[in-house]
Amino acid sequence: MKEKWLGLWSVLVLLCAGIDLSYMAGCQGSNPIAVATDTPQRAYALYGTFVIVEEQAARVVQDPATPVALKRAIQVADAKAKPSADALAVALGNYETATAALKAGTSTADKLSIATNNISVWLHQAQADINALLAAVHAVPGH
Amino acid sequence: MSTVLTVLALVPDFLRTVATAFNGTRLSTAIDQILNTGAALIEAGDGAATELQAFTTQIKAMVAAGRDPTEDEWNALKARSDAAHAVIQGLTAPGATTAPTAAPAVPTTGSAEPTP
Repeated sequence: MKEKWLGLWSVLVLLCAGIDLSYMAGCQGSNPIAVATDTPQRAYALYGTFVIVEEQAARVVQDPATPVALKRAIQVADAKAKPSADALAVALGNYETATAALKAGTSTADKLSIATNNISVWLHQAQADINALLAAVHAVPGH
Repeated sequence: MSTVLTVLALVPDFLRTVATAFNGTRLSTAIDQILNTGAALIEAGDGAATELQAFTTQIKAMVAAGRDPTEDEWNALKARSDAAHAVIQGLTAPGATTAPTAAPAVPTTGSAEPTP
């Protein structure tokens, strides 16, 4: 557990430094995933973060001032990001279930490996798709 | 946007770690790393900081109570996503075709039931 938290803090500090020093003081304070302490909470926090991005995207596309081409780009990006985020949430839940089952002796390591692999696949996909949505929103002037 | 790209540059190493780690602390740490990257992206330049702060407060309360998200909370979050998705996809740009809505063709295996 101690190693896990050391790893978490190391990355957190690294990310704060990589973004902007001005964020150092409040990085964890506004990072829902960083304050979560177990996988279900983190999965929920990640999905909620995606929802916040998606809701911002919805506001942007409803803004009459947003160019049609940029609205279309957001639409396409969201069409990919939502199923990815949904699938990642399921994969994280499956991982938690497989971990608990293995600890309880009611499952095998193979199933945990499968769940782990699915997380890897969907993390990769969701990361790219959510970033693309974020980039599409940021492409709109003023956002 | 450059700050976003800076953070993105960290992602491949994290993904490689997950791809090769299949148990114990190493996996948990790798997942921590990637999940934190997602939130850091938002902090890097998004205008939804207030909402993010409120959501963080909600997670903190959950942690303080020593509980995991309930099915109702998951459903509420998914409903918000569905609503935003409907707004976005309800738009039709001139000359645009219907946007794809199917999940990416990424193979998933395993039999564990979805829990969220």
